[in-house]
Amino acid sequence: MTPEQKLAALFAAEAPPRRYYGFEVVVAERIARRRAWLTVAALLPWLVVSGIVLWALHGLLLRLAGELVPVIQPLALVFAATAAAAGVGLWLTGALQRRVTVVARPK
Amino acid sequence: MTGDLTDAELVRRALAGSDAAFSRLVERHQAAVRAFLRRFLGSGWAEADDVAQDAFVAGWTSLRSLRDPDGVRPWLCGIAWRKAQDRIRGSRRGAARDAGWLEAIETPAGVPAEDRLALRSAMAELPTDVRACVALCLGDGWSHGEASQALGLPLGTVKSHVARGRARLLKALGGSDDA
Repeated sequence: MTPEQKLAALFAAEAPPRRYYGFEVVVAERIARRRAWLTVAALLPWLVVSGIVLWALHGLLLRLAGELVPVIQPLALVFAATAAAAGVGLWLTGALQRRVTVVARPK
Repeated sequence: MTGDLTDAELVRRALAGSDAAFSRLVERHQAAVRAFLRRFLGSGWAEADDVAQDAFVAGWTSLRSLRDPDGVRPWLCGIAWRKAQDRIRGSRRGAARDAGWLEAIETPAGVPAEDRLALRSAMAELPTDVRACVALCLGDGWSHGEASQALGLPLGTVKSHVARGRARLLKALGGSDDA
């Protein structure tokens, strides 16, 4: 076998299979997670704007607060609990996926 | 549904928000990117795949910066090359990497194991630019033009890198000095 043939054979031996589903799944999962975080980040400016609007209206809201407290308090609790559960769920999903994902690699 | 589409059309759909289109691009180009990274990094599949995943995610993030939608493969390999250089600069390239390489490569029939080790050693000793050109042009059969586009190197430089790298590898495999 000539050196050229050896070189070609050794390079050919390293060639990966044309498809590798495990790799494609991991990339798709990482992109989906990145998209989720980008979506959350895109909502942040709206959160800031909402905060500013509420701060601007706080005088009016304070006057109405006495009447609104019984209505808003349970709703606020539900929203807070939902947001906390969603946050924990998102974090746990990522953590669990990282823990249990076993990717079969081709040899 | 996206099976017969050109790269340019897949890029257009991916830019419009289609994850299926980008997945098709991953499917189509993962072998080229992974093979290049494995040869360039000189390690096993695990490290090459880590960098390849980073490259594809970075590609998804910066898809709008792709100027020629038909040149997805060189563009992705260019991203992979920069990621791999970062990895080399920032990480250990020692016994663990060499062990990974030794475990990962099978010696083809008719090629002595010493030649496999000689090739590994010769590849590791090549400068990074030369190694990248060799990995693409000799390992994966890319044209010099494609490699030039992917690596951002002048065409003449790629040609001379490939010639020099090839001569060194052949010498390590028992060829003459002027191989």
